[in-house]
Amino acid sequence: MKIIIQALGVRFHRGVEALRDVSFEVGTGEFVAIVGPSGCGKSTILNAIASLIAPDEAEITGRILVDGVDIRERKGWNGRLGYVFQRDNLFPWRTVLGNVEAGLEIRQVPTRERELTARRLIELVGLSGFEHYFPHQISGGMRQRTSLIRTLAYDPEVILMDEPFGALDAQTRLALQEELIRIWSRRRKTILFVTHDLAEAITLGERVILFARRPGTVAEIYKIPFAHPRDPFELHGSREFAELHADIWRTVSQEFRGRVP
Amino acid sequence: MVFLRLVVLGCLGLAWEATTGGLGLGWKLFEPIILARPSLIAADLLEYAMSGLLVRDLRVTLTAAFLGLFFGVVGGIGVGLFFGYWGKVAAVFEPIMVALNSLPRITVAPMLILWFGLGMASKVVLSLFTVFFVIFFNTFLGVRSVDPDLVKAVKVMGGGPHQVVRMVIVPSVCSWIFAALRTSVSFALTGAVVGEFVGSTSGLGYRMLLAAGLLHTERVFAIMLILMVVGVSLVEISRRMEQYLLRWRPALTQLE
Repeated sequence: MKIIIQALGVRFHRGVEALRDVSFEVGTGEFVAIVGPSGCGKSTILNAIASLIAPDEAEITGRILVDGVDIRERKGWNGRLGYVFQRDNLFPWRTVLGNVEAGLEIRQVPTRERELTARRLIELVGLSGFEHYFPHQISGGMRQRTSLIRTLAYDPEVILMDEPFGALDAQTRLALQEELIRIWSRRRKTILFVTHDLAEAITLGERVILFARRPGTVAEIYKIPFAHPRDPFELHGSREFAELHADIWRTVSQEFRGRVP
Repeated sequence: MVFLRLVVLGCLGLAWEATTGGLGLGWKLFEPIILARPSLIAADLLEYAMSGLLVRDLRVTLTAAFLGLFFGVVGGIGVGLFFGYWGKVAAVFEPIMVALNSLPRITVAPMLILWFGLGMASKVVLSLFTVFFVIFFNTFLGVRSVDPDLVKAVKVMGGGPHQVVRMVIVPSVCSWIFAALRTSVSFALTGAVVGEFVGSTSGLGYRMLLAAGLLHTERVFAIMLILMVVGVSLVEISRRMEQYLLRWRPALTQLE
């Protein structure tokens, strides 16, 4: 599915103008990363795309087109959208297996089939043996893996990711980036990945959109030349990566500097 | 540890027995009317049990406690859900609920006797009244503290209001109710016994008050012992239940 954002503006009734005149596109099967300082409306844009902002919460101007149709006319996504949150957001009372099955349960997929799909995904991210663990019994990295495959389980066409690896240590984060690339290369979902970590954005995105702060807007769009599937561990050691990072960092640091909201 | 505990318990028992004129030592630090001798308590307990009165009293008290628990839990959940969903109603009634809740439970007992008579009904209502507020406040808070992010997650997955209720609200509220169950069980028992103290014609509380009036101290202690055993067992059962039902929750020591 192709997403086109046209002159999107979001002003919360509490008075904060989160986004102003935001325009960009995400092609079908493309992996786009959005990077920007805290408080630049990165999460707001995902929430707007997911139609999670209630009309009584904020005034939304501009258009969000999904395959050419305005999201408001579509009346939501009908479950063709996945959203991976920064907090893993798992159901604490469900096991790993139960969590991964949740989306299929909503679709009333038969129990056997549900379990088969879930177990296959659990194996895919190396969580075999932890099917019957509850979220509090596993590590943050494992929880975030579970959250990722919970989204993959019901096979959405577009996946929004809001700093999903932000709370993880550097090593786990690289491992999960690698896994995400592997999964994406195989399934070619449209992914919009928000992060405040420039290195992460460059590692993952085919394109990186740099956001400027309050009201949030697109400052720059970079095309990342590295071929997919990339190996984050190798990439981070390469000279090309360091040069590109330094190059973009000059602009990014302008945005990141200054008052923390 | 268990051994040490048994030793301490044994020593205390022996000291008690000795200071109340037992063990053939002839020490009488305490009058038997003030502090009954353990061996005599045991004998009295046996007599109480053999006479068939114990079973009858126990049945009366436990029935009142369980009925109170049942209706208190059902009512508490019902009203709690109602208030949880309709914020306006909750806002209007909140001060009344808080005031009623801060009322010492026992003080309504005399009136309940007036209203519902000396029979079981007044005990059930008193028991219900004590349980109701615990469950009510927990249900109410449970509805209010449903994690909005989980609701969001279900919506994104394509779930409607029905699924939000089933997958998020019900389990979330249940966890609060289960957590209040242990307190409720002991409250229910207290409610029933106190109700019997205030006015009744049967039950453990009635028998105890009767014995105290006749200076039959052994019987008073015997009934206390029974209530202790019943209370500990009920609380232990509900603790196990809670532990099982809430096994998905991190233990307190594991909380980050």
